[in-house]
Amino acid sequence: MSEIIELKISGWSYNGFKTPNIEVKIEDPNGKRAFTLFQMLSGEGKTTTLNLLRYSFYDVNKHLTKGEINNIISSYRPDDITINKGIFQVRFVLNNNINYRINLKFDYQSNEISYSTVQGDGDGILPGLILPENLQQFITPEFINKTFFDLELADDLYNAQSQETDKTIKKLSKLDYLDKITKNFESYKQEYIKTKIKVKDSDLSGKIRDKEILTKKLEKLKIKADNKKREKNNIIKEITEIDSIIKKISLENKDIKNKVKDAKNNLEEKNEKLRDAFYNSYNFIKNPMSINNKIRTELFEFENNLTKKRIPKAVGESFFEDLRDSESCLCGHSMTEEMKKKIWENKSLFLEDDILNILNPIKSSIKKFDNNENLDSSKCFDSLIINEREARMAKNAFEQANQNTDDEYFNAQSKKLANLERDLKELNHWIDEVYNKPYSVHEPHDTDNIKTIQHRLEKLEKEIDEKADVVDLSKKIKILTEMIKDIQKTSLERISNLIIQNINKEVKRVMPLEEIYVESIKNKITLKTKDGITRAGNGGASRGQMVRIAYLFLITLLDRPHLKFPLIVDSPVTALDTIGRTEIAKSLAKDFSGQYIGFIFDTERADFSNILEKELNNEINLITAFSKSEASSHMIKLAEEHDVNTNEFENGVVGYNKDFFNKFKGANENN
Amino acid sequence: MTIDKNIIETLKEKVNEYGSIIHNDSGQNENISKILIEWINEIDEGKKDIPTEKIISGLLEQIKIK
Repeated sequence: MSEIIELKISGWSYNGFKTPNIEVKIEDPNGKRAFTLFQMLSGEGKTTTLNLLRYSFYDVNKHLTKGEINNIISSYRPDDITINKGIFQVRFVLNNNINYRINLKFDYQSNEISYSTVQGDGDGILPGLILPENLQQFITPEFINKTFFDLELADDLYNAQSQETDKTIKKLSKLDYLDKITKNFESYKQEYIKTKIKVKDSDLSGKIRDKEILTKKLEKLKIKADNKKREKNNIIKEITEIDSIIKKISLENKDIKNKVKDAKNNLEEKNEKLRDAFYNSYNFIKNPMSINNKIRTELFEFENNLTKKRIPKAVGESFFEDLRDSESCLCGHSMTEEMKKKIWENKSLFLEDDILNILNPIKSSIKKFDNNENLDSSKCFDSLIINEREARMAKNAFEQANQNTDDEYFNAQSKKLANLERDLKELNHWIDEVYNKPYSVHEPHDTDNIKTIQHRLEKLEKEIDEKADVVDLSKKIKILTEMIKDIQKTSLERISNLIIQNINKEVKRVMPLEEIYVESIKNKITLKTKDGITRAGNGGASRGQMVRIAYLFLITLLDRPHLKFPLIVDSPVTALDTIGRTEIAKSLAKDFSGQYIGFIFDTERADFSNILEKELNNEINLITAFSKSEASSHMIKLAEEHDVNTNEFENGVVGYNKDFFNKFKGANENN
Repeated sequence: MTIDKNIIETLKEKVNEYGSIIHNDSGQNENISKILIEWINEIDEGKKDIPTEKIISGLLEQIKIK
């Protein structure tokens, strides 16, 4: 009978990574302290630690490609190129009595990651990753990625493509044992048939060989399809991310374009005002009355006299005729013929239309001159200077706005999106039109159509069964296999329904203001409202709601009676409001019986760490780690004030003091 | 026993259900369930040399097909 497996991490250390070279100890007095909060600042190695812990429980060389391993190595390598290796060690205790140490060695020169294991308290180091035997059946990258979880990336649980939920439930509920049984049925039949083959029956041998080849092809094809589906899933994720970047840029561009438009309108308005100011100044300068008082007075007098001397033409004609014909002038002197002639000639000065046409505008202009307005020369020229400056500023603003419309990044993203959409189309075509399309007798020999291959296999199997005279046995094996698959399917449904019930029981408490329930966890989490309205994927649910449901799912899923494995969560409450934080802390303390390690920022303490402390009666490790730098002097000072040994490590500090943990802040308020 | 009780209950139900197809009586159904449950437990215990051939032969003996 198998025992309960309990694994507790007791610490880890880093040497030769971007993180400071420090050692972290997880205290567990009397084997009863299960909760730890590990506080680090952003960019100091929280996510690196999470990933290094993940890689400590499955061999990356067996699960990742060479390219992926190279990327990991280069992203963790410190800036100091003289450092040519990094060693991460994780320590854990199995069932409270056997100590294990797993060492991960990053060789920065050969770009390789290697493992060594120390079991027990001896010094014997074994090469490779050697996990406890009874644990090996659970440990897969999928399982570790759930138990060592990044809540910022909770989206995978809501994604049908990855089918993450079913895989994990099957693994944790031991439903995968049934897969082993069905495989044994098939092997039994094959071995039985081999015993029935007569030496010279080459036809049967040939069919068996064909079946083996086709079976291998089917297995390879299924792996190929899984890879294609995973690739599709990744592309969809990437498309979603790029799509959101493009939308953001478009929105910003729209804003920029509006700004350019506004700047252009402003520039035009200022230029118009400047033109007006120039016009006014020119008018001012060209009018002599504006700039000289004497001229102005004389012109006023001139206009006045012209008005006074004005003689209507009709009257004037007869007046000048009478004067010409009279013997004496108006002044009483007798008029000579010459005088009469001169008077007649000069009458046009007073009576001609063209002269009137010239004089009248001059008179009008003089009369219209407004003393109060046009005489303010300083106002006129000041306006010119102000408007010129404003126009210049408007021009600068316009040029500045124009510079911000650089579309290079936007174009690169759009191009990337188009490529990804093309790749997605090709993948969809392969999955739908090649792999999954209905059986056809016309498919080529090397087809990738699974239904055709399965059909060919069934046909071959039938022929082999008949030829080997094992039809009866084959029928029995088939029924047993179908029954086992049915048991697996129904059990999975029942266990999933129980998990759903357990999650939904907690919803009212964890989300009192917005009751969102889990409708299904088949392949992915589907949500519904209190009224039963389905919310496919994350549609309609807020990020905070999704995170809280994901938390409840993980707590319920991982709290198995036979397995107590650590739940490590990076950024555990980042997306949660105060109610969410408080209630998740209460749920964890109340419902999770395994080890919990939360990697938090200083800003995540509020409404979370204090609640955990209270709910756990202070039975919690509150650890703070930071790297030493010029910017950390206030943190070092605070650490020293709380008796934290700041000299233990050369380039980092680890503090276990709870007051220090609660007062720790990255930002220096004295600056 | 650390196998989820839902799996064990489902197994017993399904064996009875399939019993009508393979024309078993209730005694044979019980035997099939017992063999399968023992097998699952042996896998769970991590037993190295499980006599799978003997187990499967035992199972096949319980099945009658018309």
